[in-house]
Amino acid sequence: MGNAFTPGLTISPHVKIRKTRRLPVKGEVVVKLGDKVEPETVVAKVDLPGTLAVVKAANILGCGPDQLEKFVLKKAGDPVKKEELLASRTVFFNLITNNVTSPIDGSLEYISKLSGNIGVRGVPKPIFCHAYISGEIVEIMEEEGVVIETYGALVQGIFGVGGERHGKLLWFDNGRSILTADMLPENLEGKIIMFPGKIDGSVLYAAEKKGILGIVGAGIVDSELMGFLGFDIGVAVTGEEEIPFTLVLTEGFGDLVMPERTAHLLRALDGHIAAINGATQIRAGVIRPELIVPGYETKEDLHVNNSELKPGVRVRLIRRPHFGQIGRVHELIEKPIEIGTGSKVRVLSVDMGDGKIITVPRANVEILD
Amino acid sequence: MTKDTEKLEVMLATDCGSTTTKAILVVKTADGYRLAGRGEAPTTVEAPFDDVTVGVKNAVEELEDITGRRLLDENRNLICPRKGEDGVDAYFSTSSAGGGLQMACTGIVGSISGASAERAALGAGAIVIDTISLDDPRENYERIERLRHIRPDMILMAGGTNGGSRRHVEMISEIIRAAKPQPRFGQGFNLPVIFSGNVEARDVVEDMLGGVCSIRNVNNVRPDLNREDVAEARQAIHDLFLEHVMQQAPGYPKLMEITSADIMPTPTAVGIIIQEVARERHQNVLAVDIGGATTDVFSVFGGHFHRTVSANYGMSYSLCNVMAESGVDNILRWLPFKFDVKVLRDILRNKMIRPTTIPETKEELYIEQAAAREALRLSLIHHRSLAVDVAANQKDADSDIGSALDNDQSVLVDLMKLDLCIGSGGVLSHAPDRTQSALMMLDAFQLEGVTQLAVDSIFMMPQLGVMSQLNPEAAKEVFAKDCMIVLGTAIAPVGTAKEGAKIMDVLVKIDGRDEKITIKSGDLLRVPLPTGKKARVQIFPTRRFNVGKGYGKPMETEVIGGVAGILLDGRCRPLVFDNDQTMNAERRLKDYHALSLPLE
Repeated sequence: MGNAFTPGLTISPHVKIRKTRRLPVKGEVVVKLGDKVEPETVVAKVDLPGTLAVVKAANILGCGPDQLEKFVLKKAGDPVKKEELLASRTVFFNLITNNVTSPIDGSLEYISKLSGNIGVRGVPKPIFCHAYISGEIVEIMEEEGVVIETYGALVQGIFGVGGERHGKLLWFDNGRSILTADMLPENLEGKIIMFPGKIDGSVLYAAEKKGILGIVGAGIVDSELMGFLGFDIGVAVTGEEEIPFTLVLTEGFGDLVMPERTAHLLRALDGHIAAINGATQIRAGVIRPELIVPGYETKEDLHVNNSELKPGVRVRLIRRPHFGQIGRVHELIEKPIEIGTGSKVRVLSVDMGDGKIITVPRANVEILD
Repeated sequence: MTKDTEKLEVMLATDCGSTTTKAILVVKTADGYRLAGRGEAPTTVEAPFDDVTVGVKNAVEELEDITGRRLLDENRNLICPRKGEDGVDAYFSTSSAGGGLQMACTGIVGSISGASAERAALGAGAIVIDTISLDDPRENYERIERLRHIRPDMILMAGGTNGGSRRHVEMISEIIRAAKPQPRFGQGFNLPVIFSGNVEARDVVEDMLGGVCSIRNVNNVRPDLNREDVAEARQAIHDLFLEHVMQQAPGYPKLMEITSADIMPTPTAVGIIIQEVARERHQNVLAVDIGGATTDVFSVFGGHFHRTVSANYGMSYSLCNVMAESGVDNILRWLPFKFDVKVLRDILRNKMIRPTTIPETKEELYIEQAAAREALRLSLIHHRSLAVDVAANQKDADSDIGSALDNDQSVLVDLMKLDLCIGSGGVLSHAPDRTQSALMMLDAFQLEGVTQLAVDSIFMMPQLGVMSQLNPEAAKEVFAKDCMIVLGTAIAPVGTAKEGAKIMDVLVKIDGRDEKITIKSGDLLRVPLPTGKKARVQIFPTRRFNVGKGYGKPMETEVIGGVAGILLDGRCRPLVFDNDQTMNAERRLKDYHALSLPLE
């Protein structure tokens, strides 16, 4: 195979971003076309009816269903509290009183003369659909939701876990290639931390304790991540893990560092408010994890002339024994040559910048710029 | 051959896999139809391309480089029909670009109909991402959100015993209707919903979901509380996956416009070839096509053809699912060296997220081949569970739940009766040393008795399968001359014995010379026999071993040679493994040495 791997990830300081936000069931859209929204803005809501609790009132009172109404102390529609008296009947020479109380908070929905039951509807449960990103409402889907549009920075990762969150970005770069829990300062609650190298497993546990909302890193050791999650991810469909933060990996698994372009952009985003989502689906129709900074603008030209493998282009080697190393294409060698496995494949030579030139399969490089 | 097919002298065929798109060019020569060349490129179903035809054209470009024939015009459009020396007379394609199968199940009660639906889906090779039931602790809106998020490829909807609740079936339908999960590949395709609940509630489902989803009704997986009948639901899942999910991909409509015949699902095309091989040779055949997302297994035993698609066992997208299902220790046990489990996991994860990369070192090659053994092993288990006698299936349906789950009767795939085992797919067809392919199949399937081994030379059975529909002669000729490579013959007696105990004597007659070989328990020995050469062998198993004629019964047969020669496998059946990685590595190292497979 003569083609380099193209992960197709967007790493852009300024790009149009559109997000569809939908209620799970039909409800009310509470914003208008053209409204400006923030991540916490409720764009649509719905009051889900509470559950219906049925009380066998006539049985408890010891009366016929048709007599029930005269013992009921409330009428349909009245609000009721849990344990509040709904009906009462005194019997046996006024010596015994049978009471019917509400099993839940809510409102009395019906009194049935046929079954002798009283129905109490639980308190409606409001469901809110938040904006997730700041931006402008550009489309309304009646009773369902909205489309929000913004321009800003977008960094797609290659793998992530955890769902939608937003918080203030904090860049760490201590000159080391690995971030461990002991390097984390206090006061990280609500922050999204970014590090250009490997995230040590200890950081995950520390993040949970410190209230960190998001972590963006280059790589992590798989067994440390799965150990933290408590289960093994087989097919890569993620985003709903019950963890208190979201993790986005830009490069993959193991000892990895971000390419300078990604690190440069993330460094520049330090201090901004970002939306983060770890949802990933690696299959045809791929979904990538993301970090979005709405409204970010820069005069730097970080445009990438992507995907043509030619001498001088910066590449990352994505298979061992050179996994994660970065160099520049030195020469595209036309004829297939035999590699260490014994296979004959199309290769290229890469100038590693330290005087070394190595030969690797074309399939094992990723174009960085 | 008809007049039209006579005109097909230059043919292009592609197979769009989940990871790689493979193109072959077949040309009519003085020697008949021959393979002129092969090119491949990463499949382009992800951003920034989102169009399968980009990968097709990249693969065709490589084919142009290799063959020197111009196939694309200046706008990179395929030249078809041919213009002089440029272009092709016909272009065919198969596709499995859609990848694996992820499903959602529903039921009224999670532990009853929900559990039966899950078993049906798992048995069909799907990954069940979630099972939604009316008694699970979630609110309806949470169930709806979940269905939207997971984007299932299809939904298996169970619930209600026959003649029982209709209202609850309606409630489940309401959830699916509200969620209206979007298929992965966008518009123009309704999400398949298989309804396997109360047969008297089919109208309710049709009323609620008709027009929103594509509904297929099958037998109730739980016709009453004490019975389970998952066979028809499994078959429906399998068929719908094959027909509507697997071959779909971004850009698929564009691909349809440029092909000369309908695009065929990859397993259908391979199945055509395998059936033809079995019919021509009058042999029992087992074949496997191991891809990036799926592994397809085909068997023809006694003339009965079975095909299964294990939707989530594969060498790239599904590699970590193989790891999760088999357990990482089961991958490690196949390595001829000790290896750090953490590093192994990272290697497999990185292969999943960068699926088109290839191993550069022997160490990584053997790691991928170890994982392939587990993918093949799991896929064969899946195949055997589905390739059962129809009558037994019915019995299965009528049995109670407990025995239905334990049932393993009437499995048609009897390895002792297998004559020919064929491997295809990147890891088998592109193994740098074809002996590695022979060993992978021998290990993964634990072949029994006397079995001829072969591989698809360059992974082109799918293309030949689809080509055979319009030009069977070309497909047949190319298959015979350029596709199937005989690796040799394995002789593996069934039985167990202590390591070092004698298990069989083998007398091999080659060119009038007799060679007597004694095989002890734990041995694996290669007797060189060149490709195409035949030899007579007499096998004398000890009383605790069976090589096909019964325990302790001798057998004489003719075997055929190949790059792997005759493989005398005395490693017992089942193969012996240890809990200690060092011990397993030593055993496997002995195997590698026996077959002259170097570690460095």
